[in-house]
Amino acid sequence: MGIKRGVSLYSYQQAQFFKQMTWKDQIVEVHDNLKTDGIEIIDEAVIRDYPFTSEQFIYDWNNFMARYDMKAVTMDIYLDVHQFRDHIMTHKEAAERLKNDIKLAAKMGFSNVRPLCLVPIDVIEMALDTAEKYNVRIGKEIHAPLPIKPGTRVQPTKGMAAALDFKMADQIIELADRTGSKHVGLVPDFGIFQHSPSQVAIDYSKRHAKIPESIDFILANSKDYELDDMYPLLDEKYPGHGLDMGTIERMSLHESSASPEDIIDIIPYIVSIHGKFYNMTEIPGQPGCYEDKAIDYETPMKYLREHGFEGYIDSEFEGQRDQQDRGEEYLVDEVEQVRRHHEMLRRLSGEA
Amino acid sequence: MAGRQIYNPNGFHNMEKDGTIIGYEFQFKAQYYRGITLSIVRDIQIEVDGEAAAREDIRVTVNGEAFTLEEMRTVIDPEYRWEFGDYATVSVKKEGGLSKGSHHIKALQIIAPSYMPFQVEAVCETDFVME
Repeated sequence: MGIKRGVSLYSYQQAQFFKQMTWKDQIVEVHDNLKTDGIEIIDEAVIRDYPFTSEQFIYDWNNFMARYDMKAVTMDIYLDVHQFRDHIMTHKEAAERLKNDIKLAAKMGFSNVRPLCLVPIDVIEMALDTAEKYNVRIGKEIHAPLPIKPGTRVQPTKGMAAALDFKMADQIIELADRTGSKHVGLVPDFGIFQHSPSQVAIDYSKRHAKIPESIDFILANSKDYELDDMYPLLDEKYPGHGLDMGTIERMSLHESSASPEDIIDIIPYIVSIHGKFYNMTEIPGQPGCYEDKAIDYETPMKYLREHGFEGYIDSEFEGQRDQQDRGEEYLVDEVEQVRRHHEMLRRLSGEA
Repeated sequence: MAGRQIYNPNGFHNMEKDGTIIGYEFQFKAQYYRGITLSIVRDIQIEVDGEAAAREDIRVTVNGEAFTLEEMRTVIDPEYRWEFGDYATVSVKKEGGLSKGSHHIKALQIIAPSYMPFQVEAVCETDFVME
């Protein structure tokens, strides 16, 4: 048994966007070259005519997965709450959409659905009966900048971090314990163990900064300031810098949003894991071995291994987005990046 | 965020009706990582050679059906999604269309996806030749 390997087809989004690979080509790559069976999808990137796709598509999907003996692990779902333009989707409406997503996931053979970290807990609870009935687990994502346990962390009041609830994981565990349901849990994303900005993100930010030195300043000083204090400081030091809040937030990263040891206690609640990464480079002195220098995989994977986690880690490559602003010759090879990531996953999970 | 090339290089044409050129059209993909329910498109703004198109002169065609930007506000139908990686055709009314030769287009796609505390804006620019 042990830790299982999979791939979120999100990793191949660039190849799909430019029509170089279809979802079928991607599944074949996972089967033939990564020698594993786990498949995760973004519902609206793969399923034609979501949320009411055709029986023909469902059959084609299930047939192709069966042909290669693949395992549909997790379907990532979204809840576009702004889609009804006369009102924001109510919690009851959101629960109806979630129930429909669960049924769709069940039809496609998925074990889990992954709603986003912003979905209110009562919406999850309203859909729990449906999850039980269709035997699909709801795994809420713990995505950066969320911690697993808040501890003494101070939640910023601006940017993405302000919109999230740092006690999100606790709410899910409370719901699972109170109802005794095995059909609600968590999907931690390895981005919560990212401790510094990725080189590809730094390079991107500098290419687009009016004052590239302002990026160096953030990198050098982020550990000495709270994020809320960094915004006025930059305005003062680099008037007219023009950096948006998202860039400042990304470049200010200097410690992981979650502590690796906190993953131990939530293992019973994990439905699957997102193996987020940006840039796999060869480890100096270890030919054929790769790492993402910005994300700690080693420590959390050691805990997962030692504490008997037997679920899937699905690769989620996201570094392509920082390398698409120049010519075609600068586009990154997603297939190669995911292959390198699986070298690391195999090695760190102790796979023979 | 500056991103992928989204325009179809062969998609720029003038539109003709009864022997008169009534505007131009082009094709582009949504600068996002999943398919889009048309109703979350908040706006599409277009400038060619620095000249902005009026909002009411813009039509977006998905799966053979043309919508104004106002009509798109209510389109949640699964058969009229802007699917991931697929081109939508955008047409702009403009007497005489665009002259033959080189042009520059700058378009802004504004969407309001589920979880963002703000709208997502993508600027998309390219040079093209009208033949």
